[in-house]
Amino acid sequence: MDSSLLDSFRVALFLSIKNITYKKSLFFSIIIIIGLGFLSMSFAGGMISGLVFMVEDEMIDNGLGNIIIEPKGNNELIFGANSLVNDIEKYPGVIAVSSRYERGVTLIDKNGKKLSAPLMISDIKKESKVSDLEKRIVAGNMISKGSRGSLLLPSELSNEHTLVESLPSLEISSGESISVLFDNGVKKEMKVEGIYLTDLMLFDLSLIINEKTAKKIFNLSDKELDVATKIIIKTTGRQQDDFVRKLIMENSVDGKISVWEEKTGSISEFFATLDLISLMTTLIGVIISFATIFIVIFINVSQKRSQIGILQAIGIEKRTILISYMIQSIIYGFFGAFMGFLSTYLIQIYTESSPVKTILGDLTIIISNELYIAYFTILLVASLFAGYFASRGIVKERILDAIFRG
Amino acid sequence: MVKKEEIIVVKDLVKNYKTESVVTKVLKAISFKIYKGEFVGIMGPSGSGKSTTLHQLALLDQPTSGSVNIKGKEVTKLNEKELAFFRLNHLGYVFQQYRILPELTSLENVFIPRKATGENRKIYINKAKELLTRVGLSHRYNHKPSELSGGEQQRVAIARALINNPDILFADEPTANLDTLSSEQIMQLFKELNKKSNQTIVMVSHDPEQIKYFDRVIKLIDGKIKDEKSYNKITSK
Ligand SMILES: Nc1ncnc2c1ncn2[C@@H]1O[C@H](COP(=O)(O)OP(=O)(O)OP(=O)(O)O)[C@@H](O)[C@H]1O
Ligand SMILES: [Mg+2]
Repeated sequence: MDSSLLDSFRVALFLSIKNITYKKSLFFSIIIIIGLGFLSMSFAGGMISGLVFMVEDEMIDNGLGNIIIEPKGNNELIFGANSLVNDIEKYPGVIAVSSRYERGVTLIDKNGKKLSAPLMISDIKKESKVSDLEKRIVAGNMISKGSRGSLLLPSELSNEHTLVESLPSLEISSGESISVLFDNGVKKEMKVEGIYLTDLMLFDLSLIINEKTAKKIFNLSDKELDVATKIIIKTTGRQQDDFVRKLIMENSVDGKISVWEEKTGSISEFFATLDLISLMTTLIGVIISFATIFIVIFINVSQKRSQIGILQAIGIEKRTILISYMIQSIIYGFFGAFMGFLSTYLIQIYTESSPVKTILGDLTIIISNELYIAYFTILLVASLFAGYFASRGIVKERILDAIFRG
Repeated sequence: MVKKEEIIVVKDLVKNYKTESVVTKVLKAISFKIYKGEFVGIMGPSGSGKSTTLHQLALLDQPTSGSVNIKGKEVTKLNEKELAFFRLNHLGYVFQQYRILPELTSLENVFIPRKATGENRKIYINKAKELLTRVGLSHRYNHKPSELSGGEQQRVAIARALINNPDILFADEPTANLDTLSSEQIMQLFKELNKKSNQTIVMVSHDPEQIKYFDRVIKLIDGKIKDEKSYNKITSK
């Protein structure tokens, strides 16, 4: 019995190879169709993953940071922030660290319009390294570490606002002065030194001043200013985040340590929706691929009706014939999926070397190895099923009907 | 005189085709025997049931009722797998329209049924070459059917039918698509196989010219056997 199955397989393999090599143009047409199926499964999902990745990167670079330390429990502040920053800066995998001390202000423009905003006190030099602040100045100048009495205004609060028209903004441009009412009651006319662009206004709608200015306004000693509401760490890359986080934890830092993923807030719900859309496009791709493979293989097998009848007439078992068409389908599936993989991969590499420019940054297609393997497997399995179901019906037919009406 | 050995015994063979409301009675309880080493012609007018009879004998179809016994085995009782096995090992079939596979060369077409028995590659290739030589195609091993004439394709089909040394060779109007010369060659080949190798052959024909080749003719008229004639005495071998 075992040897007879082996014989079946040998004959089936022989017939499949002969069938496939007989019409090479048909073979290439079929694998191109299956390859397109691969593309339709993977492409939209890859775009969406790339989009999500890009937005995440943008968030990380625009001030969210890779790792965030916040006060723990009932504490409102992290104490000894400066030495903590200096320590963490030395960790492997860390590019920059910045401590932020956040309070609140009210801004009053020349028309008397009032607007509340967060205030961020920070070591400007360090902050710039963490959040690319310097690059994001769109009007006026960056404030320096040592300058006094000037501030940076987020573009959305100024005349420079671009992204969301409906957001309330003030009648103010860079170089002009504005009244600032601090949360300790001090009211001061201050110069808007520069305006920085807020790509993702979800994050920074803060007014930024340096430590020197803060010290004067709030009348704080160096020690009193050695606090933070947040410490932001930028790592060399996302894949380092867990490693760096572990290092920080091992050094028993007194604070709540999170990675950026835990801090994306409402945008993560949006990402979940995108993931769902991505899954749906993949599923639709799978269904379309399956249907296409089935139809292509079914037509191919239908054209071989008479041949299937003849093989049976000369004593070849149904099983052998069925196996032969399944082998053919698997071969189509394998080469088709490989074609699809190759073209998708080439597109991926191409977008990596020359990404699509968008307002949020560079968009590339992202498809993980696991996904590639999954798509490949799905197509192989689909081909096998299609081959089986397409040929089963014809192999079951009466021999004479197959031969004489095929 | 050696006693004639029965190889096919047909009894009360009935074949009806049912289509929706009508039942077409094609074979109306025919009975006959075929002996080992005979070259039998099945003849009769078009539509009389010649092909249908051959299909039942060659196990390509299932009769409505009656019995077909080949080499002592009641073949109407076999299941699908057993039927395939029986066709492969005991029967050879030659179609009117050659019906060899376009993807395969002459050699491959011939050896496929032998390969399916699990035979060793060297043996089935030699055997196929030997048969192709025997049918006069030693110079056409690697030709595809599209590169062969009708007569050559039919000879490939005959070689294929012979590859597993069948007990019976069936042929349904094997020369109907051929010119006179090729027809002659094919009939000579059958005759030679029958005489030299004692090959039992059952062949459907509508050409009265071919009667001379047959040991015996079974004449079908409207699904019944009419005046069975023996043209040549069966020579005991
Ligand atoms: N699958 C079928 N369904 C219905 N009727 C059929 C079927 N196959 C054959 N018949 C009928 O059976 C009868 C006998 O057919 P058969 O093919 O055996 O004739 P034949 O003697 O071989 O004729 P010919 O010389 O034309 O080949 C015909 O009337 C034919 O229409
Ligand atoms: Mg006929």
